Amino acid sequence: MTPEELYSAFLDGRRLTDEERTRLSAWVDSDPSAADRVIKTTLVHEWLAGRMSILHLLEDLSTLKDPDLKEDVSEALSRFALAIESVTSSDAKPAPSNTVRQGLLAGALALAACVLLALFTRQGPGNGDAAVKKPTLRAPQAAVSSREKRPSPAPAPVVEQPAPAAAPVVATLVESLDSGAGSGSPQSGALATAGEKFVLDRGFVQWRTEEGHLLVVEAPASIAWQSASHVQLLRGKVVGKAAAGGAPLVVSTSTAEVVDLGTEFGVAQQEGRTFVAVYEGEIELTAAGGPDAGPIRVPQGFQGAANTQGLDAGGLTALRHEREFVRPDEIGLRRLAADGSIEAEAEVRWFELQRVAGLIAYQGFDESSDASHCTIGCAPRPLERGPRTRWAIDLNSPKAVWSRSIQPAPDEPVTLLFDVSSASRAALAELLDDWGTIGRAGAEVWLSWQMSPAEPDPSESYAGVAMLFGPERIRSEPLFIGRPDGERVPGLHPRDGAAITSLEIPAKGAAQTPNACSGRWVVHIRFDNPSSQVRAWCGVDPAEVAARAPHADISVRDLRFDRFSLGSGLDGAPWRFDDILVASSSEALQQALEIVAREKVATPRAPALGAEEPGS
Amino acid sequence: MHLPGTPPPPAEDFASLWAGSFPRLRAYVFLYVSPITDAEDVVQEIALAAAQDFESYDAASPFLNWVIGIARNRIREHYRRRGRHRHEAFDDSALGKIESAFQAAAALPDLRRDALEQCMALLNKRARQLVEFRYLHNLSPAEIAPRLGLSLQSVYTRLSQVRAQLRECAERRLRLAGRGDS
Repeated sequence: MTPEELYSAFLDGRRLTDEERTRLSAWVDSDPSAADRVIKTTLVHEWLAGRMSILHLLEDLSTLKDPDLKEDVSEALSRFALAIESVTSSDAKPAPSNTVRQGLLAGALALAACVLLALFTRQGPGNGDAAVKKPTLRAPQAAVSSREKRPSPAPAPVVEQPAPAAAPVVATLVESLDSGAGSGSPQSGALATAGEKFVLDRGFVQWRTEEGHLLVVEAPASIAWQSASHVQLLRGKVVGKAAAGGAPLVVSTSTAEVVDLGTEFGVAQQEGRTFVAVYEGEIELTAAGGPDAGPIRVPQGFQGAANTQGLDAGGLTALRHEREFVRPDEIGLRRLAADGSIEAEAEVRWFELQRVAGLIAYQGFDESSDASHCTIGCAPRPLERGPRTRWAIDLNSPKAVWSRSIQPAPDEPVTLLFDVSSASRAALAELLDDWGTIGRAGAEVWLSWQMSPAEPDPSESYAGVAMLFGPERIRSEPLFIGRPDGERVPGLHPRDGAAITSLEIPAKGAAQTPNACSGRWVVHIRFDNPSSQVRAWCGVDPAEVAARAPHADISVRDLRFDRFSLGSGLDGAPWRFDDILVASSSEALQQALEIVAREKVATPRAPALGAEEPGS
Repeated sequence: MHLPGTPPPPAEDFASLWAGSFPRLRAYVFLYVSPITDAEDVVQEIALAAAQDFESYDAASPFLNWVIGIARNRIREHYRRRGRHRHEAFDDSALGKIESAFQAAAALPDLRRDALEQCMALLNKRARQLVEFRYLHNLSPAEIAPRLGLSLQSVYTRLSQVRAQLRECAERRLRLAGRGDS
């Protein structure tokens, strides 16, 4: 039991052990919010005790305006009074047995229950919030024993409630982001009733149901509320986060039904297919029909799907990543970002980057985690680096909150390892060849990175990115991109014996760096056997590469890779590298770069160049 | 304390003062006394004692504080009758913090009751049935369990969930109404 449940049990008369008392006390002592929660729980307990009292029912009667309801309640209370009278008058006669006495009181209380149910029903959801009663105040109750007022009766019969006059409120809209303005747009505080349809054309909204479940809706989407624990997803994407206890949250689609088993999960309904991703706990997925309809249980960290023919034959697979759906915590971050938090905005962009379809890998350079954060599609520990490696300012924005850049020491390159496991993005995009490296014949990739010298570098020492594969002792380096050793201009240097191909960059004026391409590189590779085609651009807006002739276009034998080597030669200046991307299409690359480039500035996180400390 | 030379508070004020403080006072008693029947007995005793001693009330100070002073004595008396010498759920340090939180909450307007009324109407059928068994019929969790086909532990847990649900719902409505926390 949680401390809160333990305290609640105490209110219900449970005797606590010394150990439980000590635990509760420690909770109040250590958790600053605990005392407040104790008070509020007690206030609810007190309110319920008062709300369900016979006196309160009588007060309710005096405030009723509905003549039909008043008549119903009056009649019930008349019968209640007769029952009470018969118990009272029995005092003058031989005392009835406790059973008879309790039975009479139980009958009276059962009638009171009828009254109460009538009040709930008439004043409840059907009449909406406008039916709020005034708070009631009571004079001191007569000093009679509460045991006489509140006997423990036999069980009251369960009274069926009459149908409500209108559909009940099932959910409240608690957040609306980027969903437009004006009277037609969804507003926080809006209520949804059972049977109501909700269409979202743009942005995100978050609902909280009366069962306490959270539901994030991502546009474009439409849903229909069935109850406070059941929503029908007609199209689009939702994420449900189920409240503990109570009725389970159910999301149904045209092809499946998803029942939470204490969890957070995403459901997408697109093109006749239902896709489910489970982030916490477990869900039960049942297809609407077909020979293999399930149900099956989908545990945390897995995803599954169903279509009109039943559950997907592929079965369950591991989640590709944690941010396929916009989840409740991201809604909170988006709110903070909208309110001006740069850190929250950066976190939201990070989530957006993860969900770019076709993004195979991204590497920023977060110093605090040794680049283990700000990494997508790379190995868990993505960097192999020497002791003299430095962290430098972000090349995208000098005051970025996202990450920094990395500055390998001269002739001490840094290796960036990509994830080429069977569950990797590269594998799922079918980029891996028979050796498990990126380079399947027929596949294509788009690469991009930024590089820049730490100081003017007129040398002929190498600086750039080498593509590697194979075991460390016999590693192969089929292609180097940058400024090859002994060259004055940037180019592509295949290691298959072919000559270096220099970039032919149209002059743009005096600002053009004469002997090295500083800035963003974009490289397109179409893998084939035995030779792959490589095209490269440097210093060009990635959105324009499709319209521009490549600065170099060559054929490379046996080209494949599973890691990059970033570095520069001993005789030149150190170079910095940043924002390395691998994508399976130019659209994915541009989309990812647009997100990366949206970097806003915040409190400087990177020190001035002269103040940089060596990495360790 | 009623000061010498000042007129005593009119007796007719007692009913309205009591009514205004009654929910908070009863919540205070519920903090210390369980089960409900015992707590309500103590509240009745406090009502009688307060009515009898009303002349000593200084109208310049909050009525709730005055009546809570009486409540403390009556709660101690209740403990003595029950052969208890300490609070069953909390030690003195924790109780001090809870009392402080109570005083802070008591200083705010009692807006929660409106919101609770709305939230109560939104409980599902099973939760309402549980609440009725517990509060209207005054059944103990042990008596409720066989009637709902639940284990005793489940009844405790679900009652806790219903209270939490009502509390959170009320807080949410107050936030949405821009009335903050009460």
